[in-house]
Amino acid sequence: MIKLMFTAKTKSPEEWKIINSAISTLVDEATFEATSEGISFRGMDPSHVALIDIFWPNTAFDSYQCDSELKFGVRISEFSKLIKRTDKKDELEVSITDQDVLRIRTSGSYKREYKMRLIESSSGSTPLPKLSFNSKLVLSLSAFDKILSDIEVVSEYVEIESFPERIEFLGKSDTGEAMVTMEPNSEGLEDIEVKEESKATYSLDYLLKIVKSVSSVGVTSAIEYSTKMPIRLEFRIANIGRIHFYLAPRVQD
Amino acid sequence: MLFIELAQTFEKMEKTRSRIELTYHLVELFTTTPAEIIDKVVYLILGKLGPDHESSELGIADKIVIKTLSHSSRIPVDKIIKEYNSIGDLGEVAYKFLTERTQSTLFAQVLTVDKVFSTLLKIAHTSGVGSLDIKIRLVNSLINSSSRLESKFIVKLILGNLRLGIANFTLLDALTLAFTKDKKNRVILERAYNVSSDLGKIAATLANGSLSEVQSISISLFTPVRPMLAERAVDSPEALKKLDGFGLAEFKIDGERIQIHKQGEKIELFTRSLENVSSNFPDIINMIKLLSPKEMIAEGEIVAINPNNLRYLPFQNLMRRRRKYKIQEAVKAFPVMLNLFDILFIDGNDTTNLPFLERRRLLKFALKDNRSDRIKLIEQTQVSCTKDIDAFMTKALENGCEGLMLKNPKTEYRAGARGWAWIKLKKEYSGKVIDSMDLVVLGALHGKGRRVGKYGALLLGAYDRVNDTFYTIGKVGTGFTDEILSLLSDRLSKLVLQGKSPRVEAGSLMMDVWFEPRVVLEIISPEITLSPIYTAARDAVNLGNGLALRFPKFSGKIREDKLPEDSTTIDEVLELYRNQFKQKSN
Repeated sequence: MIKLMFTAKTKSPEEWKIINSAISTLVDEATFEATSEGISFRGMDPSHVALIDIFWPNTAFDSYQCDSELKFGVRISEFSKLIKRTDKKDELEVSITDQDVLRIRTSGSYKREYKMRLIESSSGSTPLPKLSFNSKLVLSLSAFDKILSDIEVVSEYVEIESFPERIEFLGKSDTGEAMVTMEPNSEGLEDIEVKEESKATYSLDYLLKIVKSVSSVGVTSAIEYSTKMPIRLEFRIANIGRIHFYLAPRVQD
Repeated sequence: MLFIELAQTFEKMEKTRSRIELTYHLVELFTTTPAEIIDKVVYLILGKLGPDHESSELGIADKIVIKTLSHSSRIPVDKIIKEYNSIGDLGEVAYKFLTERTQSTLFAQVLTVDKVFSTLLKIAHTSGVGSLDIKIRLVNSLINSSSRLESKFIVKLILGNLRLGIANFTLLDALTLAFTKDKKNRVILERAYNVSSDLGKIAATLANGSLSEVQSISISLFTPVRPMLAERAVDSPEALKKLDGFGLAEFKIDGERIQIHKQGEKIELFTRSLENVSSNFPDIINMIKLLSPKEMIAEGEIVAINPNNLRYLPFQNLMRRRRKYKIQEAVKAFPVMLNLFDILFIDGNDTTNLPFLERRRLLKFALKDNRSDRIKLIEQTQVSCTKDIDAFMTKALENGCEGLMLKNPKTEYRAGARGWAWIKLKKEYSGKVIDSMDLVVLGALHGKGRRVGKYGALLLGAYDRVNDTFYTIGKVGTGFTDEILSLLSDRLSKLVLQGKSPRVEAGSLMMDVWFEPRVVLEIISPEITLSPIYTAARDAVNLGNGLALRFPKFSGKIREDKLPEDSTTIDEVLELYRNQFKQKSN
């Protein structure tokens, strides 16, 4: 007897590619949770410095069915390898029909089917840090990527300082300094909202990896933070919903 | 249990040079350690993640730790490297620089012993594409959530250079005292250790169960047994006397002693220092698969051979098989043969309690279906007079062997024990002892002239098992090729200690560097003399004097297969010393 537990269809494999590449910036073993509402993922990197929180609602799928809540663990590196074999125009169906196998079927130029062994799913659930944000800016993803890359030339960290009408991105090292200023008329800045002037420093390694992982489809990113507190990036992506990325600050002298 | 508690004990242990005090710290630690993690605590004390035969490498290089420390402290990499070069220990560098955190975490986490152990294990077991990134993240996770004292020891554990100077025997003492309060029970623990080679398992059995459960720990497949050891006789009359006039003599082959574990098609090979070397000998494994016993633990000597006439070749040829890559090429280029000499387990039955003669019969039976000329029973003959022994010795030497093993046919297999049930007899030259000894490198002087930047004279030591201490016996500076000297300097530089190990008794002798006693060298010396400088057997022959090697020379053989505890003992050195006079008066 085969009991259909979970099936999710998308018009293209792109969404899964993005999800996998975003998660892979933090962990390789990922536990997804599927409910009738949609698919979610929440995971922290082993050093507890960054966290990804994804919610992919049922409405974003071409078709979606989930009879009962279930958790499934996948090795992202394996999953990505399979997804990479598909063509952009392929329709993709991901399903679980028995306890420990994920089935991936494509239809397009021809029919293709992969089966991937699931790994043990993590038992605990990752909490979200309780935060309130004093500064918020919305940037086009390409502008954000550029700013971070500008700073990376001289430093491994970026200090972000907000003023009522402008945001400064600063990088320092022994060899020099880099500064990028975003003002309301700057290209790429879509919104700025400063309740209280804020200043904090974050690792560029983490920021660039996550930004690059979604930059092919993401349109904008909302950046929220407070002085010496974690930063939260929100990426709104068509056909996925939202991806939240949290990163703990560097401790400054 | 919090990791900081363990780190604090480590800190105390590192500061002491006294074995008694070390034992005391261990007893205190064991009495407060929860039973469910005591095995992990034992492994961590030894700087390991499991028993010797399972212990896995973490595969983390210095430069990764340097990067992590830089990340965490925000101190530039080059400054850390500079400090590392001057202190020589990244754990100490971590302690110095990690005065405050620079990367915060989303949720504060407290490190427990369990968490540290499981993370280290994860680092060791992560492999394949992208594994380095994951390993780095895991290292970061530990460093980012630890205090500077915790970091110091985590770094040492990661790099495998935690050196508390604690030997297995000290741990056995401490476990006995902590759990049974009676020193006499040590023999029970020692026996369990000799058959299981797993101190963590013994600790867990004691903490969760009872002494009688430790008593019932028995030999089992794929857990290497600590090998039975032989005493050394100076000549055939002495050997014959110790054997009560009758014994079984075997070739003592210049190869490597190997323990074979077989269960159906699954075969594993362990060296005498319990290292798993299965991957080095696929040819031997394939031949063992064909033997008829379903289950078997046997012992034999692997030796390099000339494939055309099957003659034995010297040890150095065999060592070329000990490599990580291109195994198949090595199998072709350096063919070997296995000479079996004992059997400890066959088809469900522990045979260690059977007399040797009976075990030999079982071994012969185990080989009955063998068709290969690369596996055989070791050459053996009965001896009942010195003429028999001398004749067989001549034959052994003609066949390229080191000498003879003489065995009492009636005794059982005594795991890990040295006794006169087995006797080794090496070759003699014209009445003069030019015997080789296996000695441990304890310290060194800096090299001069051509050896600048390397070590010059090496301080050697012999082992005393009763005190678990290494005593000095001389310095050696000759017999080294440039190639071997570089290799040795490389190995030794990883064993440098801040001061003398608590297990070394060197009197007032000063050296430029001290090492963790680990590397065993084969040394040839024509004579042993009295010396006021060295501590080996001090006062035993002459008050105020110890024994020293005269004109010692390195034979060229690094005894990779020997643990420091398997080196030549003080008793053996005394025996050799006394024998010189016997030889002269003959």
